[in-house]
Parts: sequence; C-alpha cells; structure tokens
Amino acid sequence: MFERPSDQNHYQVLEISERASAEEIQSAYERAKEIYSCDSVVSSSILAPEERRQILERVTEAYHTLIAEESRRLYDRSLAEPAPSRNPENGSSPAAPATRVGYVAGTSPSSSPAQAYPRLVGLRPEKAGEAGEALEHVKIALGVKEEATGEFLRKAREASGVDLRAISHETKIGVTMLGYIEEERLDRLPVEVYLRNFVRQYAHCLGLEDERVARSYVARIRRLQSKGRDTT
Amino acid sequence: MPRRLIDRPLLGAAAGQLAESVAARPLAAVGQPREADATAPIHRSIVAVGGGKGGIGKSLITSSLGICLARRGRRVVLIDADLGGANLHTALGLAPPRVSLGDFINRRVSTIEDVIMETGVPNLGLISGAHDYLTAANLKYFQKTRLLNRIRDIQADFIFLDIGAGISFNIVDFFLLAEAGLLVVVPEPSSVENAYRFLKMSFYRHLWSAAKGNGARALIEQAMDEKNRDGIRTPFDLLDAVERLDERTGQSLKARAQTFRPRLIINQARYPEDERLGPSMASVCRKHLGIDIDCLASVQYEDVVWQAQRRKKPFMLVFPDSKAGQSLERAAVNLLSSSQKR
Repeated sequence: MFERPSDQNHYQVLEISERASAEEIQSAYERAKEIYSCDSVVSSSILAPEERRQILERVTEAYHTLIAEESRRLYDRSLAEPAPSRNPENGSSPAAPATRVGYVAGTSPSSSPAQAYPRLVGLRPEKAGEAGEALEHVKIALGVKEEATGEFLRKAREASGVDLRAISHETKIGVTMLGYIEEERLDRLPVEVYLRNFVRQYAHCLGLEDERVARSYVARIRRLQSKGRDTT
Repeated sequence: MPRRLIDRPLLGAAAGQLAESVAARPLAAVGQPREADATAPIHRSIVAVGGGKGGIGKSLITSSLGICLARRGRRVVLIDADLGGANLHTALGLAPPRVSLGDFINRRVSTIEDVIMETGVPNLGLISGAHDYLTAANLKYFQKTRLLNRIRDIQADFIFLDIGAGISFNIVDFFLLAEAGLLVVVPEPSSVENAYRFLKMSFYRHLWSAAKGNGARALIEQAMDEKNRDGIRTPFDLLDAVERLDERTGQSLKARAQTFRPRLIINQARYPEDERLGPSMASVCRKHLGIDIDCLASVQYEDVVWQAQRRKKPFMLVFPDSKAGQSLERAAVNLLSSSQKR
C-alpha cells in the first residue's frame, strides 16, 4: 500500500527517486501539472476541483524545494532526521526549538526544510510560549468555553501557524477530512464515533483540551444534523 | 460456422441436435507446430479484459491478443463473458456459433469444453456468448460459481475473458477471477471515469472476499457506496477504518491490497497526450487510490481497425503490421513473458 497523499514527501509527490536529476524533477513537475490541471481528463473524474488545487499546491511546493540545490540539500537533511519520539508518560511530544514548529501562513513554504515539512512538536500551550499564547487569545475571542466549532479549530490552527498537512502528518487523518471538520461539512463528516476520535486528535495536536473540544464539537454537529433533518 | 474443438458427446436432446450440426475436434489436435519460443514453459494464465464501459474495444483487444498468442503456438481459449452483449465472435469474423456459454450455464451440455468452438485460427478456441439471453444481472450465484470453477479447469495456456460493461458483482467477479486483469480505456472522460469506478469496485470486492468478520465486511460495503456517510472516500480511508476497528484484520487487508495489480490498455490513442494517459492514470491510481497499476499498451487509433471490422475480418489477421497491430503484438509478448516468469 502506498503512502496517503497527505503523508507523501516531496519526492513521492513528484514520483521521483531521491537521486533524481534536475531534468527529471522538471519533467516530473510538468507531468504532474498536466495530470492535475483543471481540464485534465485523467484526474477530473476522481478528484474534486478543490482537491486538485491542493495537490497542485503541493506539487509546486515540492518542485520549488527540490529544483534549487540549497533548499533541496536542507530538505534532504530534514528527511534524514528521525521523527520526534513520543513521551511515554503523557503521550505528548518533547519540546523542540521554535524553528521546528510549522510555518506560519503567508511565509514561503520552502524557505527552510523545517518550515516546509513541519512537525507539531512544542505546540502544547504550556510548552510553546508564543503559539500557546496565541491559542489562548483565540479561545477567548471565540468563546470556546461555550462551544467548539469548525471555525474555532481553524482559527486555533492558524494562530499556531500550522497548516492542515502538518496536522494530517501527525494524526494520519487526511487533509480533506480535516478540511471537512473545519468547514463542518455535514454531508462529508464520518459517523460520530470516528468524528469524535478525529476531533480529539486534532485538538490534541493544537494543545487544546481535546476531550472537551471533541465532545462539544460532536454535540454541535449532532444538533446541526438534526436541524437539517427537521427542515427537510 | 465454427466447429467445436473438444470431442465429447453432448447430453440431452437439444445437445444431440447440436452435436450433429458441428464436427468436433479436440483443441490439442487443431494446433499447428509451435514456434521455438513456444516451448518455454509457462503457467496457465487467465486474463480478463474489462473496462466498465461498452464500445471501447474490449472484444477487439481480446481477439487480437488471443490471435497473437495462438500464432506463437500457445493454446488459447477466448470466452465471451459479456453476457447480454456478446460479440466476440464478430471480432473474430465468425457467424454466431450455435453452441454458446448459455448452453453450459443452463446445463444443455455437460462440460464447458463442449462449448469451445474452433475459430479457424490454429490453437485458438472460442466460447461464444451469442444468442444467450442471460445477462450478468440475472446470473444466479450458483451458476456463477459453477462457471468460474469450470473456467479455471479449462486446459489451455491462456484463457481470455471478455467481460461486459458495468460494475455489478457478477461482472467484477469475472474480472477478479483472472491472474491478469486488463482494463481498457479510451481517451474520453466517460471512459476514464468508468474505469476508475470499475477499479475501485473491483478493488473493494477483492478486499471483501478476503475480509473476515462482519465489521470489516460492513465497512467495505459502506465504501462501495460513494455517498456513504462514514466519510470513507478512498481505499486509504477504508483500510484505516478497518484497522481502527480491528488492527489484525486491517493489516491483513493491507497485504491483500497489494495483490491487486490490474494493467491498463489505452485504446484509440490519437494524440501524444493520449499516449501519456496510461502512465498518468497509473500515477493517479497509486497516489489517490493506493492501487498499483501499470500500462501494458497504448493502441493507436487507425482507420484499418474500422476497415477490418467492417469487412468482418479479425484485425490481427488482416493488418498485423499496422501501428495498432504492432502495439497489440508487443502487449501479447509482454503477457507471455509475464506468464513465463510466474
């Protein structure tokens, strides 16, 4: 079985070997652009336009990272680094330098390998100073004490400066599904037992009170679904 | 009129009439001396040719590959499993045979060998589906099981199944019977869409047949419904869901998933981008469905194919040196090579 698209590294995204030449990278990039373009017969029947757009973004990011020698060297080094191990006592990852926390939206995704391939270490609010403070602001601003919504999760994530791929990398939940959770896509969300687990993992990654957020979010979705049924 | 290849008495009154009308000859007896390379040992191969859509050239490709292999000295039997839409005999330039697959399914003959007909091409037999009013939809479970078991027993080097359009279980099960599943696609959106749907359904059915426990099977059945509410959109989602349910079953299904390896044939390729369609579809399948497929051949669109069909002549006998003919010849050699390696 292959890696989930959200778990693929830049080489896997472009389907090239880690020894690929610049010509091979260029050629793979052109091919991927053709496959995922909006008028492509190959992908239009299997992927939604939004999915294709996201894939093209990843393809572009992979290309720009690998085509430049220096950024490729740094990226290769980041791939060679072992993934952070879990702390067996509390299940959380150990604290890490701030540079390893995911990149902030709006910055160049390939400006450093750690930014281009983020790992969500150090995001527990009690350990990750700035990110933690930002989260607290979001919690207060959104009044999470009453209800956890998809918008709250998104804003909490953005305040932490991580993208969905980083969350997906940690939780192994697909980017698309995470997007559905944020958008509260009632027609796409899984059954409650899975949804609760997904939201719990997502909230845990952001250093939130995962159980409470999951409970609140699921209750909200249940209520929205019930309302939807009543109106139809 | 093609003749039966197997010398075996037919049973029943109807069968008796059939027997009088056709001269019978064993399949082995009709073969000509084999070519030198044909002496290399091979494992018997069942090859299914599907695509999920009608009118994409499945019968042309089945007949052409069969002819190529038969001319290389291999004993080949083609089975028209396109129940309700059979026309493989036409692609071979034959009139509708009087005995067909339906006679075996409905027990008007006793063995499946009784319905293998001569085609005029040495080493090549045909089980036609002509005149059969069965459809895949109304094939009963026990009829299908008996048919699939008897197909496995046919003594030949290659058995080709030309299967019909659609994604019903009966159709998919024919596809999954084969060691080599060939998926024919033409460079049109509807064909590509149907091919993906056929692939996903075949893949899920492949997993379902190996799944133990009602929970895993229920999840797979959910996944078969593209609008399921469990959020299972791709095989990745499914396998993760099964693993969350039962880790051992999840691991076992992941191993099973790796044994599903169909191959693409792009038919009617007109432009350079059409030639790239096969590798591109394979890439999408690997990355977004987790299914490992490769492209066996890209067959060019040529007027001579139409000319052969119009003249009711087997294309590979009339225009073997055309570009399309050469592509099909290479595909046949590739299949032969694969069966020798196994």
